[in-house]
Amino acid sequence: MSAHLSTEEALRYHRQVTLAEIGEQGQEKLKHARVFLAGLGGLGSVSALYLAAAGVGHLHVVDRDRVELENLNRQLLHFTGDIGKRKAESAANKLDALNPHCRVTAVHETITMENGDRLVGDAQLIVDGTDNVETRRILNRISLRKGIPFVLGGVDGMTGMVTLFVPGRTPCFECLFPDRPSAKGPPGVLGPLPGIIGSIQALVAIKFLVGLTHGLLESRLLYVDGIRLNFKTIKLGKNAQCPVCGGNFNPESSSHA
Amino acid sequence: MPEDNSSIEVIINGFKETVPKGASISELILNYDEVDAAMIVERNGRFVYPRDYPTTQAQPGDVLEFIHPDFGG
Repeated sequence: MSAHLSTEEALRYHRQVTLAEIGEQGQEKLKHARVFLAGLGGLGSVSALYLAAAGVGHLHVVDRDRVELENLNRQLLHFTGDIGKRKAESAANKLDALNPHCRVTAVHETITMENGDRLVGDAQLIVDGTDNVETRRILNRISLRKGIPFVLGGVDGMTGMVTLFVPGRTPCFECLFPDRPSAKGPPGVLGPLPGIIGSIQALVAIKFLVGLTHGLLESRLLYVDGIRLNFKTIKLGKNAQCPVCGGNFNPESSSHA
Repeated sequence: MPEDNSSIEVIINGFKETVPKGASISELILNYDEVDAAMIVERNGRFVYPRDYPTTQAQPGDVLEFIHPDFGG
């Protein structure tokens, strides 16, 4: 047993600590990790559950919405009895019950350019559970300004996408999407799709936090097609004309863990 | 339309298509009515940045995917 993990913790995390890729050292890193998770809907529900269950020490979650009945086909952190509650509160209750070793700070607030730096604080990683481009642009700017990697996720209908943006090493969100998409209503979505994407985001986050930097979806966009049940990655090159980061990065640099 | 000196064959969204030789990504997008400001264009496994659409010409055998990005959560 590790001197730093209690007997209860050692047993709780036993099945992952036995992995050579994690080990006690990796578990210690998770225990001291600080993650900012924006959005507690379909994506954020699942990534939050896995991050808390894995033993991330501090999970800082933010959502501005309240639980609605139509959320419940996919937002697994929220139950029927939570309808009308703040998602932040509903999430904190479930995550505390799942793993009391994970310190959850839950905030009911809209993320803006003004409060974003404060909300993200000293997190090591930003995980995207949002449902709109505007908030992702804000997260992207914060990620670049603070030098914090940003795990993007998104779903629409039967498809989804994931990538990891690392300032100084990869393109940024606005390299890929400089234009605002045409306005549409909320997309239809089948629950397992955000489940898959949120799970992959959590996997990327855990790998990053324990220092498994190989195969992190850097400069690769993973695209999941739930119709054809096909996964593929699209290689991302430089966008030297990006108005936000200027495409100024070096994939070989070692600016992160 | 069979391929001749003025046209080439490419794959677009999984289907073989004959398109004019020298056609740019911009022209193909218009041709296939795939207009969305935030679309993803994948060419032979690589992401094509929007600013490169007008200057990127389709080559014979190119595999192109026009993908609507997913911004829901």
